Amino acid sequence: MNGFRSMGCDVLLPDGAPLDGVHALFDARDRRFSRFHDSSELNSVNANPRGAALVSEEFASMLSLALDAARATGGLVTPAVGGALIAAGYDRDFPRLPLDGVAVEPARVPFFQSLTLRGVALLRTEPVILDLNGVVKGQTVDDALELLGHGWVSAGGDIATTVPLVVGLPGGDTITLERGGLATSSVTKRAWRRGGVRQHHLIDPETGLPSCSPWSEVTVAAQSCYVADVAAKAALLLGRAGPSWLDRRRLAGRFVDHDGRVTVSERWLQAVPAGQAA
Amino acid sequence: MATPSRMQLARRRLKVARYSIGAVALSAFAAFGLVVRDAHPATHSTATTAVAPSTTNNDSSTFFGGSASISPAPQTVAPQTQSSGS
Repeated sequence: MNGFRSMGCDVLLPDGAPLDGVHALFDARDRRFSRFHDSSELNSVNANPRGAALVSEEFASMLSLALDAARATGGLVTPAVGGALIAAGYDRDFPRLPLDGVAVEPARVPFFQSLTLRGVALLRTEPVILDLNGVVKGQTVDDALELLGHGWVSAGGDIATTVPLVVGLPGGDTITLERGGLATSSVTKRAWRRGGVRQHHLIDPETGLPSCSPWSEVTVAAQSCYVADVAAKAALLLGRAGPSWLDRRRLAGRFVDHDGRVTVSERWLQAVPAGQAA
Repeated sequence: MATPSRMQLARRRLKVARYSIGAVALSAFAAFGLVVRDAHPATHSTATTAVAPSTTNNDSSTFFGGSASISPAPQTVAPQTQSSGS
């Protein structure tokens, strides 16, 4: 398989696809937007979490996408969760995270309306630690595919394609993604404990704690990987309301609960009738 | 004409320094006010950056744009990649 490792996941391309440009794109985005690179622009912005700041055009573009996602999901998928993630113990690159530690207290997630972006000027009316992980990977997959022009790109569960692609899903099913984006949001991969209590990286903005959703993995198909990723996160955070929320937005979604039982949205069922998933 | 005393010279220098500090502080305050005013959502029709390819509205149906096309996979074809979450 043709690929490399970046953003803490395996990035795969079709055999023979040129890697260099895509690899450079992923690494550049990782350096700019990671909380775990000391010299990243994100950490520079977070070092003074309140008031006005001037950011790069690329940072402004990505933050703008994150704010669009926050508006479209009613604040469920928000860039303002950085403080809550750190409070939950996710304060370093995942492979270096201690498996357990002292118990955590919930951290209030600021309203995304505390953030205003005008050009490259960012204003925060209260302290906000940003985390752009909710959009950076999905958007980078889309941008990488645009760079390739044709084919597909897959990065840690996030996929964008211009050609029919057979994709394996959580629990063993497979589907064909004809064109567009597919993303799976999961609470099973990046998990750790604090005070003996299981933690993961999907924060519920209402509680400031890792979500207690009944779903362990949610997969969504959308026009782009960025949108699929945002919708998958929102649907997981919404819990039992997730499937109908996706249907109201004409999105196909597949939900796996903590016992491995699969539920699908109406759109998914229309596209992949029960029993026809391989 | 009497030569100003060292005390008078010092007072003059102090006065000039006070005016200078005041002018710099006033300029900085005005500049900050302009930045804050420019950044405030009430002064604009949208609060999103001009450089971003964003949807710039709250209509979630526009944002989501409908599903990608998916179909059952052929029984005999192995997955080319996995969407297993991260």
